[in-house]
Amino acid sequence: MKKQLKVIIAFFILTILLFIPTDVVYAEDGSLARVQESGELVIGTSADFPPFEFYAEVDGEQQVVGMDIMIAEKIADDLGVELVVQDMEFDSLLPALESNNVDMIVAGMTPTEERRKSVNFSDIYYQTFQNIMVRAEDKEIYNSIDSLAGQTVGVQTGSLQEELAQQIPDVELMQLGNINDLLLALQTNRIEAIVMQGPNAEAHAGNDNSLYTFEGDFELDEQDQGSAIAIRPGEDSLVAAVNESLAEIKQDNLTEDYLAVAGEYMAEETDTGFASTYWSYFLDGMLVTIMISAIGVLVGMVLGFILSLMRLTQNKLLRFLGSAYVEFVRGTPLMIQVMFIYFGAGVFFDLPALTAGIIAVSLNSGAYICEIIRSGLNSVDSGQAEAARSLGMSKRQSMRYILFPQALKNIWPALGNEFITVIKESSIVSVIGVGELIFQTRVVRSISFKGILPLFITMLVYFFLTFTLTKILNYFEGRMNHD
Amino acid sequence: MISVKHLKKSFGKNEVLKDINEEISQGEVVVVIGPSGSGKSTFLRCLNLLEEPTDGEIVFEGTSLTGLNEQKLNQLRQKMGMVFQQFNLFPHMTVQKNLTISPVQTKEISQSEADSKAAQLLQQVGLGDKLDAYPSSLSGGQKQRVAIARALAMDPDVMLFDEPTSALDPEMVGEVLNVMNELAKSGMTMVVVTHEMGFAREVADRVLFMDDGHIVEQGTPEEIFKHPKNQRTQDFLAKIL
Repeated sequence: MKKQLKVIIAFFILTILLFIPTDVVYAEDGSLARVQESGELVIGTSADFPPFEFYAEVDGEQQVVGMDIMIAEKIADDLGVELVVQDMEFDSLLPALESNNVDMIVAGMTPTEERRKSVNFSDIYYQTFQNIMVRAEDKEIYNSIDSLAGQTVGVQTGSLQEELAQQIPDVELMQLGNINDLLLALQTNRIEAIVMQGPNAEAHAGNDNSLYTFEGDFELDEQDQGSAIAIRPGEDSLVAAVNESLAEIKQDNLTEDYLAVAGEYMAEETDTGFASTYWSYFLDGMLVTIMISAIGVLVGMVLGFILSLMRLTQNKLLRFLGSAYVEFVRGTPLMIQVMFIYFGAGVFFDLPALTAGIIAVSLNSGAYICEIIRSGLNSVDSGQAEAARSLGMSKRQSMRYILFPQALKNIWPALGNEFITVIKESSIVSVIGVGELIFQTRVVRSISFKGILPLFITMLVYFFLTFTLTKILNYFEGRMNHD
Repeated sequence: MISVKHLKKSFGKNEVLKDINEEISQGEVVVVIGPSGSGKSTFLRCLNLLEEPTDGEIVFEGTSLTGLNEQKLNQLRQKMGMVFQQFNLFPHMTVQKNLTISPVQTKEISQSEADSKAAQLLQQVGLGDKLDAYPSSLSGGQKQRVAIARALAMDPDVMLFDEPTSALDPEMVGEVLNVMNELAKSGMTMVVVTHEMGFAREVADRVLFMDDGHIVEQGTPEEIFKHPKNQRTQDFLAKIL
């Protein structure tokens, strides 16, 4: 009995070992060679963090720029490879690193004790300081940690500042993923202050008169004040190469130059109006949103049709598989499905974020459309199938010419509902850095230093999309109506 | 043409047909009468296997339908037209499309050939002007005449009618019976389940009286209606005539 148990446990452990990421193989230690062979250095960053990483127009094109990006460029140059920048939410950076979607994280990341447990860090390349951001009219009231006692204070989720803010007595924290949302919360009196990284806070305050920032009197570890580059554990050769480049940067004091260049990008005032400056972002985002939704719905239709046939067949196994799929996909959040597919696939092969997003949206809408089609087929009078069969039609012909067209008419409003939902829900793929409408809105908010206007425009664009779709669907509904 | 051998049909524990044996010959018009629940509709629907028999055999033109594969069965069904109580026209298609969809899809007939045949059949049932109408714009009687034309468009060897006038307003029954009458005169083999005793008396070659899953009595209209031998036949006729 005991022996049997041991065998089972051993088997279980072996099975789990099979699923452990393959990068264990790189540990001894092909990491540097791997990057050089691929010819690309892929870095992850979260480009809402001026002056370290943010969007700016370079030669008429929107690019991620900033001090961190210039450091990454230097590293890539030293390695003799091309730099590829992947922008995503700060929260998603560590999973992206673990799942091999990026080679390293260059995002002003502080090498805290906690983070050191899961990743490797380079030497610290920039010593920073921690600020408190308040509304300009409050600058007399709030001037220290203690003056904020008992107030609501905003921090970026998963950031060092989240830990530091705990030093404020009786503080209530508001955690948001995006710094621009925090600034908006501050300006609309939802919170009293934000704990922000020093240069970043100064960049924002310098661009907006309603904001005021000062250095916070936090107790800091030496470790906590620096930014470093995060690399997968075991990839020591890559860390060594990065440290070499960082040493050169330190020696030549290049960070000063980099910050100066970043400041110039930020200072580029736009004389023209908001719309004429940023319309291309909204257009790009809209096109990507339309593409994700259109492919998602089309693939979802095909998948949903197949699934609904599986659920309506006599075959017990197919029926089980069909309903298991539908129940599972409907019962889990799309956001997790998106991240699961992107990061999960990243462990095994390089799946572009846009493709991963489209796959996730398609698989998700397939489950919903399956149920819609199934109810539609059930709603067709059984006499229709009998009439078709009595005329000698095969099951396939009867489905294609008689049953499905009638089901389609019955389910048209429900399908329209689903299409509209997909357009809106596709925004979730922004978490893995796909440049759809919500993502582009984030970008515009980060470069324009405007909180609400981009949101309002995006709302109008979504409404334009869904309302146009509704009109088109109504037109076809009218054409199908013969009763 | 159709032989029914030891046909039995149960729905769950409810035995609806109990050992039916019957022979329908070429050109014959057979009318099935009987109280509701006697199994007459189920009997008719077993003839083209819309209902799968629980036991027994249906032989059509020398081929046993029971146990045939799907494809062969579909081919034989093309030769057995069926008309339903609820018409079952395809509501998303014009009358013309209703008549042509199956011939074009299941036989190798061109759309234009099927179209001209449809026009001719609609003429025959008195609806030559309704080619482009949708079923929803037709009256019940017109719908049933289209349904008959749709079945005829397949060039069937036999026509099965399942209470074709039961869902109609009384003033529309006549127009449908007239079409069926014409069809019978043209020599079509027909099996008709109906409550129209007038039609049975006038048109039938043979009348079957069913009760409780059995064919209780059969004979010419003269024999059944004038001299019913079985007590149950007498009771039934006494009630409805």
